[in-house]
Amino acid sequence: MAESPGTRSDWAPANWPADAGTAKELRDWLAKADDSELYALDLDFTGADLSGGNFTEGWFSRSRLRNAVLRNVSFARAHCEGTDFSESDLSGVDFVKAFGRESHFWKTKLRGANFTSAEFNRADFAEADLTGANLSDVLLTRATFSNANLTDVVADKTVLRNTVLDSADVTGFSGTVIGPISVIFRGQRSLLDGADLEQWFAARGGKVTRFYADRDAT
Amino acid sequence: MTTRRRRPTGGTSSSGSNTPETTTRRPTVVGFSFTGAAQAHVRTARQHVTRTRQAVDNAQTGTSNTARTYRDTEATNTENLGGIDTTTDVPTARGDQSTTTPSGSTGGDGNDGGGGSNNPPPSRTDQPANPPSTDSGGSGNEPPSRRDAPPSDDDGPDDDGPDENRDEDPLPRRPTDPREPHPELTPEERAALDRHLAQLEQDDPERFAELSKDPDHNGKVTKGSQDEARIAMDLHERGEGPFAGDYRRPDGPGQGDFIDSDGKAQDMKGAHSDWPPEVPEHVRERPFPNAYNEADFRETVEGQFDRGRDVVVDTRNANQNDIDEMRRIVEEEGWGGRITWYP
Repeated sequence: MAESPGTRSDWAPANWPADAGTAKELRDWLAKADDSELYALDLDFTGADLSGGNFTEGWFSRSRLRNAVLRNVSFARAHCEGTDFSESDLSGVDFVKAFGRESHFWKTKLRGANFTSAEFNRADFAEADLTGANLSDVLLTRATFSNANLTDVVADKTVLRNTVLDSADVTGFSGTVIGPISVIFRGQRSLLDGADLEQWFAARGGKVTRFYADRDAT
Repeated sequence: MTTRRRRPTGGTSSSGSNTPETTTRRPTVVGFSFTGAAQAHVRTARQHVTRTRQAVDNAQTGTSNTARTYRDTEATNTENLGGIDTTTDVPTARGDQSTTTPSGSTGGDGNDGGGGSNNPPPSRTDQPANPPSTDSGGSGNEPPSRRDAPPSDDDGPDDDGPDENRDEDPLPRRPTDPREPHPELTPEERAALDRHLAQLEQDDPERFAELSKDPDHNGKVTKGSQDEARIAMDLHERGEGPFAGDYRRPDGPGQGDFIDSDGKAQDMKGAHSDWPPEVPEHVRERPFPNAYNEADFRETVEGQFDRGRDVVVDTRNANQNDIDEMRRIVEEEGWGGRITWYP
């Protein structure tokens, strides 16, 4: 039995979305007894508190979840393409295998978030707080982490191809990554890979190894 | 001014972290010239070797399969000729230890001890009664395929009823060349494939349950992980490709969707041109947010290759234009040996 719908019967938002149409969509979905996913595309969840909700395999593409409280929510395998989570609290959120290309996490709290095997290419994490997040096996090609807090992040074969890390705090960032990363180095936009990538992290308190598939894959 | 091989000062002193980050100019690759370029050359050379090896293997396999098919066909024909009842006795009705099984009968199992003359004729879908032809546009090295063979009425059962020996192929247009993606599915083909996948699940529920546990998600079962399990089982049933032998889910998270018969990690990626068929009508009126495009396809596939994985590209929900484009990219990039097309 797929687990996606099973836990929603006993759950209700601590604070319903202010937008009436969005609230109705959510209410209708919660009232269903079947195992259908939530189709919440193009909706406005601004200000809602959906903490503890299970939206596994749901569709939130292009929706606005700004200034929302979404602690320990499951967005596993959910579609979040172009979704705006800016300035929300997503501490402990589950984004395992989620699809989030071009999503927005500006100033978002993502402490302890789990992004294992997710795809967030070209997503914007500028000024986000990802302290202790799990970025193992994530695709982050061309994503932006300018001024983001990446302390104690765990990486494993994390794809950071052309990922912007300008002024990101990578203290305690550890694991294996795939570059090249994009940083401003001596006043110039530069792509760092190999030993230079490792040194860039080391100089900032991180400890990463550049992963090479031909050499390191088992 | 050259900007090659600049090294961060932070590697040796604390000043590195205070590097000014103010202007944006043309990107410069630092530290990439040797490790990146050299590795790329090595990778390309290895891909060439792999492709050449696969081509040789394919040719050898095709030749041996053709020879085996001839031998099997010869043996079958000989057996059938030997099984013809040459007596002049009038055949009696079934159930009375007749020595002759009426053609097309599905009631006998061929093991009733009648001896000698009760072998059923070869099924036209399982064993070709005639040697393979090489003039149908296929490779001369390939065994005859039921997908290529036009319908024939001159052999096999001649009744119109169901034939339990008939192999139900849900996708008769599936290319025999594994490097070729299936053409865009018709609604009928999609329905037939869905039935087939449901049947696979039904036939081995324990295996299905085991494969449905997603190691990336602490073994949780979702619709997505179940779908991956069905695809893996279907690929296994084909009897060729990376899932032909033993395959399994990885032991832990972040290691791909499956470990194939050669111990190689495989990731499954769906290519969608439009909403999946199960999505409700009122949702389908909205723009589809996850539509295929070339950039995403490239980034996704390269991301998997970066991590040492091969990719199963699921085109069940892709239109012909997108399938053609993916095929072109795969060919141009020389990815063929690392891509498995599904269905």
